[in-house]
Amino acid sequence: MADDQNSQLVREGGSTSNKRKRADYRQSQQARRQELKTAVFEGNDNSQDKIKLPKKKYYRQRAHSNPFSDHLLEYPISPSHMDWHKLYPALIPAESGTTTQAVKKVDIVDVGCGFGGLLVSLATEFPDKLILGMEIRVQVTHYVEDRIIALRQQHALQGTYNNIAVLRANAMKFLPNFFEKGQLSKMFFCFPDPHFKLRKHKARIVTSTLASEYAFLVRPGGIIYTITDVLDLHQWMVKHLEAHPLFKRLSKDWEDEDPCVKIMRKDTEEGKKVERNKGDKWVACFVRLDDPE
Amino acid sequence: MKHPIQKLAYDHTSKALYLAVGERIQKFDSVTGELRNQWIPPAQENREPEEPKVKKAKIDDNQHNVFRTLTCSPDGRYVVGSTDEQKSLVVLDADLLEVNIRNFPKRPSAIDITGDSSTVILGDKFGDVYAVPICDLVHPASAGLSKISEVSENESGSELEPILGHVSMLVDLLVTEDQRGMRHIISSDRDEHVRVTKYPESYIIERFCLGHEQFVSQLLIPKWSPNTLISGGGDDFLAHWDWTTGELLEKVDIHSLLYPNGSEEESEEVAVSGIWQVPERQLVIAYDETVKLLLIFKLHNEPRRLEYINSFSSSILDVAMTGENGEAWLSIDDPSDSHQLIRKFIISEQGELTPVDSELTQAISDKASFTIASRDDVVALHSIALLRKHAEH
Repeated sequence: MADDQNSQLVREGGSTSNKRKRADYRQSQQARRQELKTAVFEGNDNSQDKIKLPKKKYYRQRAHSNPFSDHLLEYPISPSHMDWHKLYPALIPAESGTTTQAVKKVDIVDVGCGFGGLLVSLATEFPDKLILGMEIRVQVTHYVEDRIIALRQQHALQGTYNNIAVLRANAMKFLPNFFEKGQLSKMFFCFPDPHFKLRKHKARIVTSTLASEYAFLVRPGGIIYTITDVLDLHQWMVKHLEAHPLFKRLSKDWEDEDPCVKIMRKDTEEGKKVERNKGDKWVACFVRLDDPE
Repeated sequence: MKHPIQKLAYDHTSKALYLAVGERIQKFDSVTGELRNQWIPPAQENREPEEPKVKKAKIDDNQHNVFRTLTCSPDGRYVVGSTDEQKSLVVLDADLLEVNIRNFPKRPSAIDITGDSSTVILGDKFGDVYAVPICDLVHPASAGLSKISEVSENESGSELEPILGHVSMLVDLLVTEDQRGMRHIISSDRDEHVRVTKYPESYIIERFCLGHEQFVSQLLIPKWSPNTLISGGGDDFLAHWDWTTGELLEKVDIHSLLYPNGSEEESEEVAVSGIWQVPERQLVIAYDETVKLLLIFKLHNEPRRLEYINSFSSSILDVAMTGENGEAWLSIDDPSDSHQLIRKFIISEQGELTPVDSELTQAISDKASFTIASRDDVVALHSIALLRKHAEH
């Protein structure tokens, strides 16, 4: 009964007490996030209570963001200015965080990672790789940060989830600030904003011109993964990536064999939603070809 | 008063000086001061934008279709400019006869011409870059046969597709060609990026030159040092790069030169609106539109270093170097005295500017431009500083 009343109020814009509740929750989460974001959890410490996974309802934010506006974003001047220790404290030592030598580098990127479902599944699929989610919405980024903190602490004994991290960033503008040429082996574009209006097509995450930027970041042999429930967007992404001289679409057989495609279909939040609604999901994967001589 | 000359271009093959004045282009003989030709745009009614339904509401009656860029082809056969309101690329021949006018969906912000004078490379306000072949524009009929395969491949027909794109306002670009004939496009944007892309294989990004922290409005490759790139904009420094490796060789502080009595407050912002070269003196010259100061540097090769040697205070809109004897034409923007629209200087090895040919420049000033009622009839011409970002959220 009380819950019904609450959700009713939320739908109507939220009562003062609900707003306070959300604010209180976010504040306590934020305090813990600041404390634990760079913490390395020791497996033998049983004195700690397990941190609870964050609740999505407190981090709601409208689904769209204008990629062209001047957000107050933090990004490094160049990849060598980036302190990756802050994101992977257990795997990248602090002192070498800003040098580029002999340190593990991010290898897999989930562009527009949303609530982080894919990241979490990739963490155990590729335990030796550093995986980064990028998300433009602040609250959603906070949710994923809190989710990763909780998972790291809960699984301190196994030492898993130290290889995933999330970053608030505008991937359409600033990817080259974070990654060097040919650094990435996989890039994921899962259920991107469809930007239906013709005039908004430049805001789509896959365009001919952005494809050149992805080709710059992904090394030859690397893979671009796309999935969407919007047929028109699927066709658009296929058209632009197929037309690009540095990408070649992979076959249906390849898709059926690839573990990431399975994860992408099943473990993204959007993927689950589409599953519940019995909607269609369109997958297309592309291999980065060698530069022509 | 007279409308100021917002852009200059010098053609060394014919010693012609082209002036962009408001919506017009004028051609002068730089030796005799004679007005050779003038191009005035055709009546507005005939030149509706291609997609009127989208942007029509935004067109402001006070805004003019003024030229924002102007350049001549290396072979001297064409003069090319782009305009504000109609978002047009205007290609004229050396007699200022219309070769072609092409409207673009977004406002062009930078143009350059390939070394073989065959293609205009145009960047727009949305970050897209287009390659527009001049020869197709000149002989649209003869281009038909050889181009059929390309056109059918590219289903959009006459609609141009961008050859590269930034997700940010494109502010400057240039096309380079090395001794082996390898060509690149270097492009810069409001998001601090300088990008090096192969051309015509523009799907291959070679590298980014990263180091700027503000918009990058000016790019220059010195003719005598083809691996060098000098870039500037909203930063307190000019960046000196080897663009073939992406190495930032040095950041040359200009803030202290522009604001020598620097107060503690950090409000003194830099806005570099022009960078030019004097190859015969191995000089690089930058202009800050806020302080209205030309900063003159010597570019050394061993070690590679940009050395500040002199400054010159003047309110100017553009500079055109002739490439001979240190000659420079300056377009003067002095609202209190619009009789002298243009001046000529000799720049010495030491970076000193000496005015010359005052009768010639007065003769050109008298014949150039046209009369306007007041300064209110001129669009904002010193507007590079507006590119500075002010975060929304």
